[in-house]
Amino acid sequence: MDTPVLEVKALKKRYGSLEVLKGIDMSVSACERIVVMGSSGSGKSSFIRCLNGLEKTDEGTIHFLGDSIESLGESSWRRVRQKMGMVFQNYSLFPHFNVLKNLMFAPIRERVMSASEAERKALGWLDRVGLRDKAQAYPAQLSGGQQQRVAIVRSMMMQPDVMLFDEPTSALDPETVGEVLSIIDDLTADGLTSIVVTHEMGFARRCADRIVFMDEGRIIEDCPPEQFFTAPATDRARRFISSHK
Amino acid sequence: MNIQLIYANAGFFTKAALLTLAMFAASVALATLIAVIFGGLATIKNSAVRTAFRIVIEFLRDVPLIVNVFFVFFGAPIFGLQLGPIEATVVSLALWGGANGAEIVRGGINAVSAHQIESARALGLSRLCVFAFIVVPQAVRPIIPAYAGLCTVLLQSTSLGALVGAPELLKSAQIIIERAAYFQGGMPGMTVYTFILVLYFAAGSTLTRLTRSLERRLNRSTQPS
Repeated sequence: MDTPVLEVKALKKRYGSLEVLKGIDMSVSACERIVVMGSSGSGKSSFIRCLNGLEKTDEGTIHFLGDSIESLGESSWRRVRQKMGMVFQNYSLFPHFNVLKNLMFAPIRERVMSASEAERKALGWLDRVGLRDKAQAYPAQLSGGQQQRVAIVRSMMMQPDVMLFDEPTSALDPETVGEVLSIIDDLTADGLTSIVVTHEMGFARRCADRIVFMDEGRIIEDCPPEQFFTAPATDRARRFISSHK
Repeated sequence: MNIQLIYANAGFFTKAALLTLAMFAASVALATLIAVIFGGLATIKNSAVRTAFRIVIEFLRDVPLIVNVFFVFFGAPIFGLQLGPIEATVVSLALWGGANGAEIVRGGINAVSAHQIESARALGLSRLCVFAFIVVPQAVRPIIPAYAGLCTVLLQSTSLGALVGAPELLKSAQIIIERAAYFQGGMPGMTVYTFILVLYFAAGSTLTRLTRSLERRLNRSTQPS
């Protein structure tokens, strides 16, 4: 058995007296595609934000490629984050950089690659997501779907081992959701380990290896999509599925 | 009006005007340095550091500028410093401008969306790098009007140097008026003060025009065409 890419044990997280994660256990193997579902307030966003240190955890352990990371200092977190890309709901491209600079800034700054290599890779990525002609455009000139595609490849430029997606399509028009999901599908089909928080049932069913269903700060289902959608073990999951049909 | 008086002292006025500009440039440069450092530190999470910097900022903002000038000029020797009138004026303008600028910078930084900082950190960038390359450039545009207003006040306030004897524009004007009144008689005050009023106005309005064009340029480079 290989070392899991991510291994989370008894993870707890509190905001003041409110406990949002009440003991999460989860293991992610290389190349696995995991979809995390759950209604709002179930703790799914807090959970994946704990994985790359954007939120501090209170108890439990997180191992990334075998190393314990839950209590690292900020400068060691930086090394982890470079290997663990994250895409947010609100794209958050840097508005004062054009598309090409958005892609090239971090890898050059963090010496992941040379400037010429970064440019070559960036243009390659833009080709792959159909935005080669937007290399010189500024984020404000792009649609939401285009911005999110750029945000995804911006993370990919760091050559991460794992990609985290926190509701990547929630802020998009219904028509552009598909283009973003198909890119996530395309990237992760290549063997990129991924954790996607989403409400998109079709995507979850089609692309996930495992569905992790959260409720009130706990994982209450963790199974292949077929099983999750046809024979969920809990009432809570059954209600969630029927309300999202 | 005795225009001849202005011509006769053209060299003297030029030197004084250049000194005013130099004092202005130095005050703005130092004030900006202080504003960015203090304003930045006033936004960090550590509450002890933040409070300490807020207190310093608040203190400097609450003291009248002229009192500040006198305090620096007469008080510097207590701290083992020998500051001439020019240096003392520049230092106090820089402190006062820096404190007011820090408040403006703090507002601009807080206006940058937390998502921007988060997504930059998620790429593995250091806090300093995020601050310098992601936050500051985005904070600049919204603070330009307020910051330009502060610069205009600093330009005008270089005239406070006259009260401690810095030979800037206002002081030089007073010297010429006294000299002319003594040697030639008459009322040279009207002419000379009108002349420096025009100079201050020209400098101030140039500053305003430069600000406008800077704003337009920044808007052009990042807005949808």
